[in-house]
Amino acid sequence: MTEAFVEAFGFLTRVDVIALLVLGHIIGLVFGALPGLSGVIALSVMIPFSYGMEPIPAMFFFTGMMGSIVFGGSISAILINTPGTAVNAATCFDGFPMTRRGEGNKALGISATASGLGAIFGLLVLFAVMPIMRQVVLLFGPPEFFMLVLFGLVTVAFAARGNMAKGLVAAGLGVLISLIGYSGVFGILRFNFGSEYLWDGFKLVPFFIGIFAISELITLAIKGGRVAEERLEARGSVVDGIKEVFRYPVTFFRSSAIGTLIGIIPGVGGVVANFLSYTTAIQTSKHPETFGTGDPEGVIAAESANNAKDGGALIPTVAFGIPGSAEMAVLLGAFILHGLTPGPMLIRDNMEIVWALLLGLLISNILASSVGLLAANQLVKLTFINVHQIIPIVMVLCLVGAFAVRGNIWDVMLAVVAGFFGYGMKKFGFPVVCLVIGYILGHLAEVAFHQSLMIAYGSYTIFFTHPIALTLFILVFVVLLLPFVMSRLAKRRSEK
Amino acid sequence: MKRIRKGPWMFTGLLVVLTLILVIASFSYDPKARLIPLLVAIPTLLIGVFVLISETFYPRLLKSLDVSVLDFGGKVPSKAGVSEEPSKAGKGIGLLGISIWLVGYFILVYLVGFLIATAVFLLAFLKVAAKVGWLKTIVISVVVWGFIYGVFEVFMNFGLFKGILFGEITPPI
Repeated sequence: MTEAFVEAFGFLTRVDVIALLVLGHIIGLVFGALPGLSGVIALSVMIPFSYGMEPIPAMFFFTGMMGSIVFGGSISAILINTPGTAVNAATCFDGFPMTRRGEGNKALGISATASGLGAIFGLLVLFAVMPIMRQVVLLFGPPEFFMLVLFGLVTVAFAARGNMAKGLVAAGLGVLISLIGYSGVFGILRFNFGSEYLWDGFKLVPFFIGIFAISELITLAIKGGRVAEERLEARGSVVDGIKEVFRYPVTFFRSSAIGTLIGIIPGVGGVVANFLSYTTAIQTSKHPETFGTGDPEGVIAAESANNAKDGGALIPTVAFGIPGSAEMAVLLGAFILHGLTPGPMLIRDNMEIVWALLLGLLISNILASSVGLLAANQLVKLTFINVHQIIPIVMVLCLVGAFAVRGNIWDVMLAVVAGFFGYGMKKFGFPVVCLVIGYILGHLAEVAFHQSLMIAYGSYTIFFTHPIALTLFILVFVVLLLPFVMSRLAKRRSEK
Repeated sequence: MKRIRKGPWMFTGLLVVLTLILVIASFSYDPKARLIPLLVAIPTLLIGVFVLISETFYPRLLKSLDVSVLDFGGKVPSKAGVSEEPSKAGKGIGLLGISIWLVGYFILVYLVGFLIATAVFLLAFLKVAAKVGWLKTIVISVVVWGFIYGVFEVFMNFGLFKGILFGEITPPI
């Protein structure tokens, strides 16, 4: 473990790696501050640009982005009442009223400090569980891994915003898409329908570019307009904001813990962390009536949770190859592009990658809380640009990026088709995150399933005789029943 | 009679048809190779049909599955104007409009390659769809085009697609 750390840290002495981290950081801040362009879009669009980089510098580039996107999003939430990314939604509730009150800089100071410290909290948890993670991973053989994937897919369908039935359809389709092409397990082609292009299946990068970035550009183009008409000047003292975070240590630690825990659950992501932490802060506060009127505690709760979630989300991502969020799904795509195999082997064979992710996120978050804070007033000006001026630029990056992965023009067509498909999914309430996680996990699940059967000489009982696999199987049923239980409870509550 | 919303019905129908095609195709593979596809595709198809029927005839039934850990019992302040998407000032170009731009750009890339297509697309989109002034249009186009050319052709020596009209051969589809 120490050797791996030294190897990853050694890269930080290289100027080109630092430059990549800073570049990623700036891209993240810009994409974060611009409402409509989320972190997952930034990562999807930038994956092809990492082609040709060594894996560790590429990871620093990506974590540079990931570490700054959320703080970037809080800037527009606080200054123009429009969250830069969905995970900053709860920040608006108290951040913008503070700006209105002439305390914009104070709110930014709170956000920067809570974001940075929240992220550090999440990363410390990851650091603490790393030795345990290695032990736990060893307990997972093929049947346990298959059940874990199944559990992950069902949890995503339940936890993703929207309808659970639609989530299950999306996850199922994602798995089926992942099975298209040549199967190394059986040595045959499946679902290629005579197409030579589909021999390799749906290529990950163009598919992600389409499903995340192009679909969002279509939505933006249809809506049109600009984000902000006018904004209030950020006044007040940033230092006061920094001090404010230390006045509420309980809120900070509780929110960071919520964020980290939520991050661990596949597919749940920062939006839930953001809101859950905010509502918990209201419920436990001695003065709940002040929330929504510019209470600093509200900003602390929202921002520490949505940054802490990254450390948590990295746990299933690096330990099992099960993405904790849409961003982590794209990150797994980057792993594959750089020849790394997501899943238990990553911790065993490529621990330096895990360290690079941890260090990159740490540095990027510290940068966001310092440099990002200084640039906040300039960044918010981006939201005054008409979206129609941003669309062609990102569109060009998307199409060129889709081509750049392996120089195949049909990859560009795949990105365009996936873009329209992703738009349809979003418009009609099918959670895209379920499709993507199904796509990432489908092939892995099939391999684990057949490995299990081989171990058990074709007997399906292997999935029920291994205690961990059986527990996970029961959990799958529990999650499937949750919607019915929850709607019953809601009914009872309303009757009272 | 209740009016059926065409959009959701058609999209869900498309997903059901796609899944059905995969189910049918699965039967042509040997039993081991079709096991996981069928284990996934059949439940997906059934749930898809359930969504299709309930969306069309029993929307309440489908709504009962609208569960989310985001259900906070209305405790979050209901602030107006919190939206993550641009909405103010200016009109969108519509689904048909953006489809034409997007597909048109792809066709142009296919015919004349990235470098020419990108320059034409940027100039045309910024001038026609975004209604930006000439100077700004030219500046943005030159900067973005220069970035693409610099990164891919000069720095990475990648060789972008040159277009079939300029002799580029496309891989088999």
